[in-house]
Amino acid sequence: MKALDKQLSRIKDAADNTIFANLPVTAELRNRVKRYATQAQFNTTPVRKSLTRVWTKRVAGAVAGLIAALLVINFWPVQIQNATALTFKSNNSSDLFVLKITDNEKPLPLKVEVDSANQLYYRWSPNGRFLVYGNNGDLYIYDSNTEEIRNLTNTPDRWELMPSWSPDGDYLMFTSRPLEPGENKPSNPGTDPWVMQGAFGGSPTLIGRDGSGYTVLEEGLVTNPPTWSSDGKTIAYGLEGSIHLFNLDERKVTVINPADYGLEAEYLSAPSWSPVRNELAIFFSTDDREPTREELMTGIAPTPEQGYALLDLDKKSSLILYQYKAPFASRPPALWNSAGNILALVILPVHIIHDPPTALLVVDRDGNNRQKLGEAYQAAWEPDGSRLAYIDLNTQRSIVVLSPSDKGWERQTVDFKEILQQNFLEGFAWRTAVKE
Amino acid sequence: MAELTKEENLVAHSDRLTEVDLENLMNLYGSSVLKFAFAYLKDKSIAEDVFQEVFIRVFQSWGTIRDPNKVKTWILKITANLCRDQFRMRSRQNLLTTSEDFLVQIPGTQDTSHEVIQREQDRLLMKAVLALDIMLRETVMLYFYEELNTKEIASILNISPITVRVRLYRARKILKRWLEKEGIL
Repeated sequence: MKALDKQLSRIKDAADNTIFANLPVTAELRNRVKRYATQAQFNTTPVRKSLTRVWTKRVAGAVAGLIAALLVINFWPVQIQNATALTFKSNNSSDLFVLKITDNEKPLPLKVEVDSANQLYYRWSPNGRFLVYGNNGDLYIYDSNTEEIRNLTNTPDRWELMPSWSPDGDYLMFTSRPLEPGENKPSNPGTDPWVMQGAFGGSPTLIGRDGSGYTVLEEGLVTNPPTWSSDGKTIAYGLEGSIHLFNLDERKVTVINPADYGLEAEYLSAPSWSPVRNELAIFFSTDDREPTREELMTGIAPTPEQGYALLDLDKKSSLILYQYKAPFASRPPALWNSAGNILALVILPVHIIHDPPTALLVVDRDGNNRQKLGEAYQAAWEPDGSRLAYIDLNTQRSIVVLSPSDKGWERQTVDFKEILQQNFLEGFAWRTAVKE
Repeated sequence: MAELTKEENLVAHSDRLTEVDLENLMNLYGSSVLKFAFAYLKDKSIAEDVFQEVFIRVFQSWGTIRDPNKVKTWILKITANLCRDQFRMRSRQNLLTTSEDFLVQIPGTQDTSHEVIQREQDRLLMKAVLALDIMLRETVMLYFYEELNTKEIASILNISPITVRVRLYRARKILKRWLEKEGIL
């Protein structure tokens, strides 16, 4: 075990020996709880210490916050439509902001509320007019022309996540699942507890942009956003270790067998469809057993071959794009540029130790020219463009925009420190100039 | 039939808790709640108030929990939500504790030199953990202290599993730098 991991594995003992050494749950504290709980049971208003005191101070804070928000809204420009922009979220606000890269002093607040589970998963429609995002278990659509917000899914008994637009912008795919016993969507999101304890993901589901035709394509757990073929006729998703192709015209599912493509793998996931060819970039692994915590911490976890491969669906062939050995963990989808000739791979930490080095890699479609361009928390290609942007993993306070040139990748760093102050970037999405 | 665990007994028991049930829940999870709140807010008195509020809410909302395997994550989720509210409110009002007086070093009865060194290292390690940004600190405590996995932590903090992993990664890097600076690594 490395020296650092040895130290980190001591956190439990170290905490008990220091900060928690004089922290018993006293009989007085238990009795206090029982007294107030009994009062609550009989619908009397419990007078609680301290937390009540702070509640009374909340009003002044809320008023000050409202005044500050109004000042901000009045100061910033009202419309940013005719330029490519970044939509981002900070951990200080549930709202999103839009920022023109050329004018990074004045982000426009979008009054759409995105909960923290959805901070990586909001997307602008291909024409740049509509924003789809998740909040409190449903998906919503914001129309930037009318500034109207519509609950797209409106399902009190289901949880929807990870939407992706069809190429024509008329449909959306996402994951959905029924709420499990004990889970709830808060009726008052500000005060009610938000309880989602089950899987992060769900069954592949289709809906029209107008909210019509909510259809679960098949049951099963999908944990990454589904991906559309360039003609919009087929949807691919990783479902429980296999890649499924769902043909929308025929309503038929085809399951990819890796052996048919000459690929040795037990587990496939995270498909990403080329925007111009009948090709899928996928994650694969030769074993799919998740290592136990003990195996990881003691360094004895198995390390199967895994990585990213390209499947040519017409020629039934495969090409390894990037491969490594590490304890098994599923990874997020590869990202295609709009020309379909370069892929970006965000290699994030999954297990806290024994992972491949974190990196933002780019690699040509033929597997050549693999380069490390940085370390990214989230990355995305400019729609209809050639720039690649990413949130710097180590600071989470800047977005780096990379532009290809004859000399390599030119780098522009958009610094959010002044905008964010003590906060961090929690997600972003490109927005193209609006096309009517 | 296998014997029911304490959690299964409680969940199977009723939609409503009795005072005895509440006492049992405090025995099972009270220490985790109080410690998490203390590591979050660094103030014993506020941590106790959070503890109180958590178990009152548990008492009131017990009928909504059905899965005995998820009682702990459910209770920690309520704790994390309340801690977050308190943290925001107090940071706005500049009421957050900055003192490190609680980083006590408890002497053993027969400390050998090795134990003395270990305890000083523990103190420095926790100083580093407590200096982490709150988002990283809550994730570190749930992973290393409560020994929860990333999916459970994602559910408690209402964030995606990717975000949990990234926070652990960033915390690990910061702790590495800190411990190297202190000469522990």
